[in-house]
Amino acid sequence: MRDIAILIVFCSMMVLAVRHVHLSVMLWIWTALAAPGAYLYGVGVDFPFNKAAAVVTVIALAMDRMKRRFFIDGFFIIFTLFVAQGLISFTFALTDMDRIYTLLDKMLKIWLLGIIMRIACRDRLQVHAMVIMTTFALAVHGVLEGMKYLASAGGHKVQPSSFIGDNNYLALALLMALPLIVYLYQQCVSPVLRGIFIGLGAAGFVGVVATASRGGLIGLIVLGVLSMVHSKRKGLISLAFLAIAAGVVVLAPSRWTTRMETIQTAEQDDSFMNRIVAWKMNTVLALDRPFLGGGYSALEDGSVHRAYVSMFGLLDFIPTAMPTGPLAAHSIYFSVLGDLGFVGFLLFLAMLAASFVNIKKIKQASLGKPELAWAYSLANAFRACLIIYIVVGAALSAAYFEVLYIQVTLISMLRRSLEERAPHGTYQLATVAGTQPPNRWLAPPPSRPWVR
Amino acid sequence: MEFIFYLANTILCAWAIYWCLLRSGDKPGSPITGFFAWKSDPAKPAAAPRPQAKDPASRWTARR
Repeated sequence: MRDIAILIVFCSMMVLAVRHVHLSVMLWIWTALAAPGAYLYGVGVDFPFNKAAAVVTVIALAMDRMKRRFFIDGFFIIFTLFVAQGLISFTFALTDMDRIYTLLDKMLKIWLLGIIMRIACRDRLQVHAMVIMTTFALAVHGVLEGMKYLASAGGHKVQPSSFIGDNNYLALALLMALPLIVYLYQQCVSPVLRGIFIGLGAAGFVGVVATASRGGLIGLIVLGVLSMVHSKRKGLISLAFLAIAAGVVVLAPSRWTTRMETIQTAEQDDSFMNRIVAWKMNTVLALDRPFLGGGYSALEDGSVHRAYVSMFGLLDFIPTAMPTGPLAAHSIYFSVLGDLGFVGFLLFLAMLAASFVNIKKIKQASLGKPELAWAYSLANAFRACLIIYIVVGAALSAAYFEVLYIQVTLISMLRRSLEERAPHGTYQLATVAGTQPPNRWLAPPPSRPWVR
Repeated sequence: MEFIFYLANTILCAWAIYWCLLRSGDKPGSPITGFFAWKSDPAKPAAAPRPQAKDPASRWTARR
């Protein structure tokens, strides 16, 4: 029954989305982040939601009457080089595991989605709609897990859908949605929708606590500090932050507080020391193959791991135990370093740096302009998302996380939309000669010869 | 209960697509297109007119 209900809604979404490319991109984002198949048990389990959305997008693109311009910026060039480096590393990979094909397929799909987003979306309506879709699709996981956690008085063990990964990934996804929820709450006018965003924010926060992820706790602290820095009411935010922290410490089950206290004794913690061993192994692999790396997740293959254990002594100046078996990289930086070599690592860092530069340019373009205050707020929200990603991701193998690539593409689109903004306060749209642009309010004003 | 929330979220996402479709077709102002509208959005639903403040001076003028 639930499968039929979701399929009916999904089919209606497809019918609506085929009318415009940006709508089909919204549908694609929803299928990628909301993972509908993970919540179904019947015919819907095997239904290819993502592929259906991709097909709808291609049809919408073919039927599109607008002459849309594809734009290339510094970020896109670096992103393309990063994907190309992944392809080269895949070609010369040391492993032939299924996972390497899955990750390559994922990166190529993300790259294709990025291209179509650049073709389809260029104005505030579209950016706003994409942000809404990304937020809803991510927040639903937090709502469901948070509710179960509250209903079981902290006894529920979070088991997110397979697309997200484990509890740490869920914490990261929710933390990257929270700044966007705050942005949408500030921007929306409908009181009902504002209420929904308050609920999503609260549920997202409970969801992060429910994951019992130590990285999630660090991410919440980073989010609190960023909120204080950006807010005009620093005292009020500090008090709210302290009250929430006290509430969590008092109300959270002892299992949660015991787990969080292990942050202080990380050097004696097996989980943390295993991470350092994995980081060392990835560095050793990158030193051996600086230009190619081992290919996606190469060190998770037992044979590759055994081949490099003998070189583990290269980094003996960092004292750790010897690795006992294949390990995931447990860090966005060391993951890229081992998988794609130093070339891929530098491209990954350059991609993040280009996104921060884009955010800076957006803020410069919108500073002191009341009509662009929204862009300034959105840039701040995206900056918070990226900072959370680079801090929390330092201990997670989340280098190929869809949420990051969707957000950095949105940042690039936002900068472009501001740069295309005409001096009279409207956006320029590429249109077929003689046809009306889709949005009258976005089009340049009609010429008025009688106005002198 | 879990599924009801998931379905509600899915319907909200479908509504967001429908809203964006209507807005792309330039039909601002209806309650549907106003639901996801943002501050300073031209499609924001118009606020109800405020009751006019009573002005004692005009009343006095009218009486005269």
